[in-house]
Amino acid sequence: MKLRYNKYRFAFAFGSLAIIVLFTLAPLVYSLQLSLQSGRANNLEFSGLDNYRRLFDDAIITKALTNTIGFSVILTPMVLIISFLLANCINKVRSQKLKGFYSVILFFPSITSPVAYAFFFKRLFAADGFLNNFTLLFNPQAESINYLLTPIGARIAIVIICIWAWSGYYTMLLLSAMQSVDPLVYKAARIDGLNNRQILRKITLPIIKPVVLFCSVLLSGGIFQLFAEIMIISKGGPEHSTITLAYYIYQLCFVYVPQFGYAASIAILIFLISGTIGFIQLRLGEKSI
Amino acid sequence: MNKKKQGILNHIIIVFACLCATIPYLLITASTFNTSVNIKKGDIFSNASFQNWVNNFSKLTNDSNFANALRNSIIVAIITVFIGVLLASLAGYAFIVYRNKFMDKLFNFSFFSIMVPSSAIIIPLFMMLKMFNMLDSLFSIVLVSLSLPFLIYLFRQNTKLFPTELIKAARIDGLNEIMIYFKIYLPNMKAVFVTASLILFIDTWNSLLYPLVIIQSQKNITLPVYINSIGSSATSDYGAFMIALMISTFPILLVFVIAQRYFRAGMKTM
Repeated sequence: MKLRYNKYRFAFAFGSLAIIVLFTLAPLVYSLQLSLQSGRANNLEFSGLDNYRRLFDDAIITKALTNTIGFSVILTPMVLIISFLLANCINKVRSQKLKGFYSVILFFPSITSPVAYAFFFKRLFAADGFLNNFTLLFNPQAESINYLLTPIGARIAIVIICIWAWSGYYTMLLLSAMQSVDPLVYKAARIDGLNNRQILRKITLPIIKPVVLFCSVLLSGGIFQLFAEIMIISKGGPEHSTITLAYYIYQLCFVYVPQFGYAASIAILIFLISGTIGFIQLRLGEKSI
Repeated sequence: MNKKKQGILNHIIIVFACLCATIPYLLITASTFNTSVNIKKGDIFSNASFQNWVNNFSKLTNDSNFANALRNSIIVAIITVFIGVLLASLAGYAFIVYRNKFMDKLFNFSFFSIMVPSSAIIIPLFMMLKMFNMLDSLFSIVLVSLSLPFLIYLFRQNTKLFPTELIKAARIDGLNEIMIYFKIYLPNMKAVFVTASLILFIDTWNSLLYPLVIIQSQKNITLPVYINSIGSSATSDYGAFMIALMISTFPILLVFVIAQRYFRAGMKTM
C-alpha cells in the first residue's frame, strides 16, 4: 500500500530539491572551495587557509562584524517589541473591517521596494533634505547637517529605515498568530479573573512563542541580507561605519578588481555565523516549548 | 470609562503607526506633481500641478531603458511566481501527504537551507552562471529567486491542516495522485497559494542584489537596477525619478490590495 505512492513521493518533491541542491547547496560547497584560493580577477591559485588568516588581520572585517552584530542586537528586539505592541493593539480593535484596514496599511512598507524607500530616506536625511528643512522651520539659524556623513548618524539612519521597513511584516505575522487563539480561551481566562496583563503573559505569549521564534530567525537572517539599503544610503561609509559583511563581499567582487577567493571566505564566515545563530534560536525554542 | 480611554489610546497608537508607514510613499507621490527643480530644493508642495506630472511622466517614458526595465521586471516576477509556487506546493504537499521518516529528513534539509543567506552564495552563483554562459539572462534571475525553502515551509505548515479524508475519498473515487493535487488540494488551499504567490512576487519584484550581479546589458535590466542607476547619477531628472519610484511600488500595491483578503487567511498558519 505504502510503496504505491513512492513514485509520487519523489516526483512531487524532486523539482524543489533539485533546485535547492543546484542553486543553494552547490554554491555553498563551491564557496568553500573558492575560499581556499586567492588571487585577483580570474587568476586564482590554491593557497590553503591564507584567506582565513587574512580575515583576522582585516580591519574592515572587524568593522563589518561589529556593525552586523550591533544591528542585530539593536534591531531584532526593537522590531519584535514594536511589532508585538502593534499587533496587540490591532488585536484589541473590535471592528473586523478596521482591523483589516489597519493591517493592510501597516503592511505597506514591506511591499515597498527597498530601492525606492532607501532613496526616499536618503533625501530625508540629506543636508538639503526634509529633516533639515523641518528643523529650519523652528530654528532658522540651525545649521543643516548631512546626517549620513557622520558615522553615528548613518548608523541611526540605517536602524530607523529597517525598523520602518520591517515592523509591519512582523506585526502581521504576530497578529495572525494572536488571532489563531480561540476567543473562548480568553473568555475563560476572564471568568477565572485574570486581568489584561496576566492574559498577555500567561496565554497570548506562550501561544505565539513559536511564531516569535520564527520571526527572530527570519529577522537575524534579514540583517545578514542587508544590502540594498546600505548600497544606496551609505555605500558602507562613512569610515566603514555602516559596512556589513554582505556589502563588503559585493565591494570586493564587483566594485574593485575582483578578489573572489577572499570574498568566498567571507561568505563562509557569514554562513557559519548565521547558521549558528539560527541553530541556537531553534534549540532555545525546542527547550522552552 | 477606563476601558474607553484605553480603546482611544489604542487607536491613536495604530493611526500614528499607519501614518509613519505611509508617509514616504505619500511624499513621493506628492512630489511627482512638481518640477524637478523644486523637488531638488525639497520644496514639493508649492507649484504642484497636473501638467508637471504629465511632463515628468513623459520624460520617464521617453527613456527606452525604463520601458525595458518595467517589462523585464514583470516577466521575471510572473515566471518566478509560477515556477516557485508550483514546485514549492508540490513539495510541501508531498512532505505531509506522503509523510515518512525519509520525507521528514528531506524537509529538514530544505528547512535548514533557509539559513543560507543569499549574500553567502552570490559569488559562487555568479561564477557558476558565468561558467555555464548564463549571465545576463532573465531566466537566471528566475532560477536564483525562487526562494523555495521558505515557501516549502509555508506549504508544509498549511498542508498539516488539510483534511486527509478528502484525499482518501478522492482516491476511492478513482482520481490519480496528480489529479488529486490539482482538483482537490489546489482549490481548497487557494488562500495559501495566493499568500505564497504574493510573497514571492514582492520579493522578486523588489530584489536588487541578484539582478545587479547577473544582468550586464541595458536591455535586460530590471526596475530596481534601473532606479538604482538613475538615482545614483547626479545628472538624472528628479521629476522623472520620483515617478519611477512611484511606479515601482504601484503594481505590488495593486496586487496586494486585491489579494489581501486571502493573504491574511494564508498567514494565519505560519
